[in-house]
Amino acid sequence: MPLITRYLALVVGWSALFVAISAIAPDVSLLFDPRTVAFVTLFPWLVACIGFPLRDLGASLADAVRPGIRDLPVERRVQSARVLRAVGGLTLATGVIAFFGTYLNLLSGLALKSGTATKTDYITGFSAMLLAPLYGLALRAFLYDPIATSIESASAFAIERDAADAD
Amino acid sequence: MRILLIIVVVFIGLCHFLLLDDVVETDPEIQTTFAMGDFIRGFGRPFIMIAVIGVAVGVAGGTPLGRRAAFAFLKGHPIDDVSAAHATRVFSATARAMVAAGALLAFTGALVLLGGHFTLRSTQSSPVTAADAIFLGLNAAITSLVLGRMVAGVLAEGSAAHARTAPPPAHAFTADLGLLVLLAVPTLITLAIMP
Repeated sequence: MPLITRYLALVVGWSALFVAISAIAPDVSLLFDPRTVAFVTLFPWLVACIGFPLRDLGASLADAVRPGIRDLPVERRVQSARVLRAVGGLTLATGVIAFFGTYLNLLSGLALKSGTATKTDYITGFSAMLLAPLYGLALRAFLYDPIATSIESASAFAIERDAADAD
Repeated sequence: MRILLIIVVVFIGLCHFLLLDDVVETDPEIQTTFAMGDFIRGFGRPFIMIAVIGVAVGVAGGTPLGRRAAFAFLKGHPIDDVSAAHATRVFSATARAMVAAGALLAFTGALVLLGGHFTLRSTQSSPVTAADAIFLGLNAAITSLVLGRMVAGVLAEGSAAHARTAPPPAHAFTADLGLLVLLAVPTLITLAIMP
């Protein structure tokens, strides 16, 4: 499968999300928080190191950007897809955890205002809380799952091809 | 090595809020009412409870072979196909029990304590009181996700990768979406305390 096809879901998904949100809110720069992006993206890979060997994590990353994955052994593709799905799940879970952490920061900010917080403060803080789950869900749905599926599809193709060759 | 990684992940997972925002406590009065230290110390009881429940369920639910294999996998020893399948079941049961225990604590603890907040509302209505009230729920939710979904979950995924015969215990997309239900607790509380 060409590399561009593998990342089509990512491009289309994020574009649709961007267009939909920009139609509602004029300032979409509020949707970008570099620290949350870094945490939601990197922390799952650290957690994945607990369950998977580093060489498997590296191989899955390499396979995700490799143009010709059909030439790889079936076992490796299955393992790469498994790792990517696991990291995708951890990404969503990280987003949920970060939601709670941001909520604590919201409460801390409200406490600093000593009871003078307005509705705008609440709504702004609540919007910031939703960013991490949004990133986690979008990364899993538009990045990790589609890539894992495409790698697995190539694997299924290879199994069918090998079976046909054997016949 | 694996044990060390688990300790690092649990530490970062529990204290990640310090990385995400500038949490500043400069007002001495606020430090007495909204103390971050109280929140961090509050991890103790939920942590012990969730860990004990998870380990108990894993030990009770697993076969002797599964328990031995899980312990060997934790220590980083190589395990065979059959042992890995048994260890996967142990880790999966542990993960499910931990997440469930945390969700129960988060919902019931937070709502009961929030009830106390509304009881006091006529004399002491402030976001600070509500924040104190939901510390238990927040601690439980974060702890259960870090210990259950993160650590035990990824151990299950990792041990399943060694087992050709066992189906992957992948936390399915729909199952992970269920975690979003936990978002209801702080959402409802925020709406409740909004002026």
